[in-house]
Amino acid sequence: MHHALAASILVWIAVALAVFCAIGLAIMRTAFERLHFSSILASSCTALIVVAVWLDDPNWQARLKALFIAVLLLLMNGVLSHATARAIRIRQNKRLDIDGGEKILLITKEHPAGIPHKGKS
Amino acid sequence: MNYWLWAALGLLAAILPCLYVCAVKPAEDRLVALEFLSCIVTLELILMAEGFHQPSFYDLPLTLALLSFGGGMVFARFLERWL
Repeated sequence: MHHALAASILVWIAVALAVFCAIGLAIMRTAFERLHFSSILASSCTALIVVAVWLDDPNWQARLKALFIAVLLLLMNGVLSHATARAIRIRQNKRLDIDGGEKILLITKEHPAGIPHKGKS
Repeated sequence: MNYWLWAALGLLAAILPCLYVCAVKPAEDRLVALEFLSCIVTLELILMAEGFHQPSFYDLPLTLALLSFGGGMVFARFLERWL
């Protein structure tokens, strides 16, 4: 009984977090900002749902499959986010490396406040 | 109807903002929304499998998670080079 209650609370937290992330996805300005929200979904929401499955369902087949899906989502979301961010950057700037005119600050130990990054010469 | 199925119903609300982004925003944002949407649908199928007490239904979100990864990579590649 306690396990079912805990599982239902976890599931509803996951759903609320997913809706929050979806709203965040819609209101952000750039694609890079939007990309962060899918990471929250793939890590936190999935983990909450899998913990709820482990608490509520005594069936080991369901438990292991849910865990496998969560691990799969977590690992693949990182790779997919990287590939997507790379593709967006190349599409927007026509190149991957930093251009000298982009005014990106390079932070080092000698310059903690940052100095202008000149990019590849 | 148990709380898993109610949660699956509630999770449908997260699809609407993604559909908005897919319909209105430029191609880069659409790709991000599509990846987000595939993750939402995977979670939706997990909730439904648990709600119906059918462990064999877990094969569906598992397949979707694998295929959406491949699909996302292909879309990202297309966006980078041709689209």
